[in-house]
Amino acid sequence: MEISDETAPKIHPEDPFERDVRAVFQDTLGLIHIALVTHYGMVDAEANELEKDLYLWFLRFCMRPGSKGPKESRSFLLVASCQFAREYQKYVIGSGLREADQTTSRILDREPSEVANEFSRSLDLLRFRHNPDA
Amino acid sequence: MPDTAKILRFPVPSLRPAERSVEEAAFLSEALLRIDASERTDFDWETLRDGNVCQSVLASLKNVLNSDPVRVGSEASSIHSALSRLPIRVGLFDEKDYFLGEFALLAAQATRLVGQFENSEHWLDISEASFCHTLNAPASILRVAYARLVVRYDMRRFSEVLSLLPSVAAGYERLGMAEDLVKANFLEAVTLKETGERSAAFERFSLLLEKLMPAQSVLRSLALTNIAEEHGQRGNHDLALHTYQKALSSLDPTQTSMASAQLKGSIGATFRVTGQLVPAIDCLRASIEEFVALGMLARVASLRIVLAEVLLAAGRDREAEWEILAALPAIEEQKMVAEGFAAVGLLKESVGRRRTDAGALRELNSALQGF
Repeated sequence: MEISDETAPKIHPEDPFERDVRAVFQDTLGLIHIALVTHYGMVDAEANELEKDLYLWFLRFCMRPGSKGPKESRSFLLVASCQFAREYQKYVIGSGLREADQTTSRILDREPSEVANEFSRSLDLLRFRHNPDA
Repeated sequence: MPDTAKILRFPVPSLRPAERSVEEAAFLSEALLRIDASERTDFDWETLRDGNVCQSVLASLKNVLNSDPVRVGSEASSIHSALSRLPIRVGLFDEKDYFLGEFALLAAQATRLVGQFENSEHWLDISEASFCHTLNAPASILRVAYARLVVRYDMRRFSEVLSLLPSVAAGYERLGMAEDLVKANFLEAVTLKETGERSAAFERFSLLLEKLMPAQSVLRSLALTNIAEEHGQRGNHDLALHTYQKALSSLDPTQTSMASAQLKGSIGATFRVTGQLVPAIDCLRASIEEFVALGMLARVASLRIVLAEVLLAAGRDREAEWEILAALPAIEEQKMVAEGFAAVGLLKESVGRRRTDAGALRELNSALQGF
């Protein structure tokens, strides 16, 4: 999955910080997309739009004073993804635009940080499978 | 996983316009800041709905905080008010709260620099309340806690600073905030100095020089200034002047800043101790000029009294009277000494008679230590 450049701020390829942020984001994007579509029941197009916003947010988040590096901020990115997906789906379902199935209802009842925590563990597991000696 | 996320309620971003590029945002930020705050329309303020514009405005104001705290305080306060008042969505997810917290923190730092301590504490409360609603709130709240200790330092509540600072420093360490940790170490050193623990302070300043990062040139200069002052106190005046020179070379000579103003004042004090009254007068005047530009009126008044003493010692009585007459209204207005402080009355009377009371001047100078 690639991030569209339509709405992203211009990236200066020579800026190592922005390169790091983008790399971490790209590395996490697969998991984010699964979270948004499979777990939170968003349609692909909605998830793609949200992912663009998430990238912009993550880039600025990593620049905040006191933020650690992009890699260390990955857990915040996952929380933000789950939090936003939850609010979005609650809004869409609440306004009658979409019916909630059982799986979606269950995940909407849970705290996003808790859901993100599970995803984070999946990410660690995935990394371990790809690189067990690391 | 951070627990703070549980309190977040992100708005839905439907119908949100596309974000500007960083370059466009910088252009819009400059354009907004060129308009006088009282003349900005809601349309102007609405450019702040873009997170990159907000970020750019914040960065521009932070850059001039030390050189123009009056303007930064006024801008940060009007921007905060506009962001709170207007029903606009700002940035993405938690960014409205983040920017509200940052602008309030900036207003707090600026009002502290000009001596409005109560106002500064009020802004810190506002800042903390906003940061509570952001992701990674602990890091931001720690920065507010540190800013609160700096206000207490300026209010000369040193024991509070020394008792609360270890907790802030430990928080910085835990969160890996190395740059902020160095600032906390600096605050500890200057507080120790103020409480008379000069040797411990000297040791801390020397250690600090090893930890400072290249970007922290102002802090480097301030640490060197304090080391130089201590050399001066120990009678090593040549070493003091040499260290002051190093402190001065750490600063950008084209910029008026608090560090530069303070440094010139300290060099003036060293020249005075060594009996070199003419360079002492020149340095004190240069320092006063910079503090005037910074709008730091209490510091200006206090330095004018120091300068008046040096002028008297140099036999330039008339110039000393001018400095005293310029300082007294600010000393009274800013309540820098208790009401009815005898030395002020004596000075007024003696200057009126063109016979400056040197004893009263010394007493007043001593009462103003710390301003």
